[in-house]
Amino acid sequence: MGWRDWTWLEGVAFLDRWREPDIEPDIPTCEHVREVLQAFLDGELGARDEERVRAHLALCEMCSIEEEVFLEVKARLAALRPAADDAALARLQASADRLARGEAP
Amino acid sequence: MMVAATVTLILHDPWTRTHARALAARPVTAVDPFEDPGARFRAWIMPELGILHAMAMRMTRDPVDAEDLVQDTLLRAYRGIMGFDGRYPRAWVLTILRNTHINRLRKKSPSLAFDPDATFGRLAADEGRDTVSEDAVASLGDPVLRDALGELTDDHRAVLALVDVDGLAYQEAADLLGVPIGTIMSRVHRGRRALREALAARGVVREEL
Repeated sequence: MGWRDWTWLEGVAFLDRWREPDIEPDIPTCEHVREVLQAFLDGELGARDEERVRAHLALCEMCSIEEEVFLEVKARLAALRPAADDAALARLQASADRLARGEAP
Repeated sequence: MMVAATVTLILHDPWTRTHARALAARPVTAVDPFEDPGARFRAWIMPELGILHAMAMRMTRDPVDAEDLVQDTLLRAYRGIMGFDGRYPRAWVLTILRNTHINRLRKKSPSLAFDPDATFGRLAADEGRDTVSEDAVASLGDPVLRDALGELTDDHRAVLALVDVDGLAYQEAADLLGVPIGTIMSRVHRGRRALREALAARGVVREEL
């Protein structure tokens, strides 16, 4: 276990616990969770940080509400996705097919 | 034992963590199964046609230009595919798309040739102002969201367009905009919080407690 095994969240949590030894070990504070919440919702946290955030959310009503709010914001944005242009896609698909067969597109 | 140690090493590597989402979506093949450029092209590039076209539309805002841009990108990807190891094909092909787009812009307006910042700035600005807050929002009619998005900076709108509207991973958005992944991460964080505040001010979602 070298320093590279530490995730960002663990590092910050460690420093905080070192300053304030009373903090519950292994479960991040609200402040830490809010800091990484967006990356968590996007599936961009590593597995270990993700697990820790889940552990916190299971216990913390306030942060769970925050999670729901941001999920709604994400869903509203996702609804803006423009419809695909099927005709253009079919033409691109055909020309990609020709390329894959080694012909001129 | 050896295998377990190697797996642990790979799983805990910071680079692997950064790409965790892409890794989960598409497992890394240790040995490349394809000898033939056509098979590689089919397996790695053709599944990304939809996202390529959507991104090209965002960048050019013109259906004809967008199709040409994707055609050029496909040709360049096909030519380079034997030198590509098959990891994160979407990120790879989005980088080609971005470079192709910049080259085409330079050909059209040579004044941009010596000012890459102008090109990147234009890309980022186009992404947000024109595509998300006007076209897409207007056509789908979510006036409150449209209004709220207007309060965000161009950078924040551009990143939310790529990550939330188009569903790109952070690394893919970073490759497309040519910025570090940390920049994407902080823009998502700040942009989404700003959007939430704007929506909360309009009574659509609740305020932060």
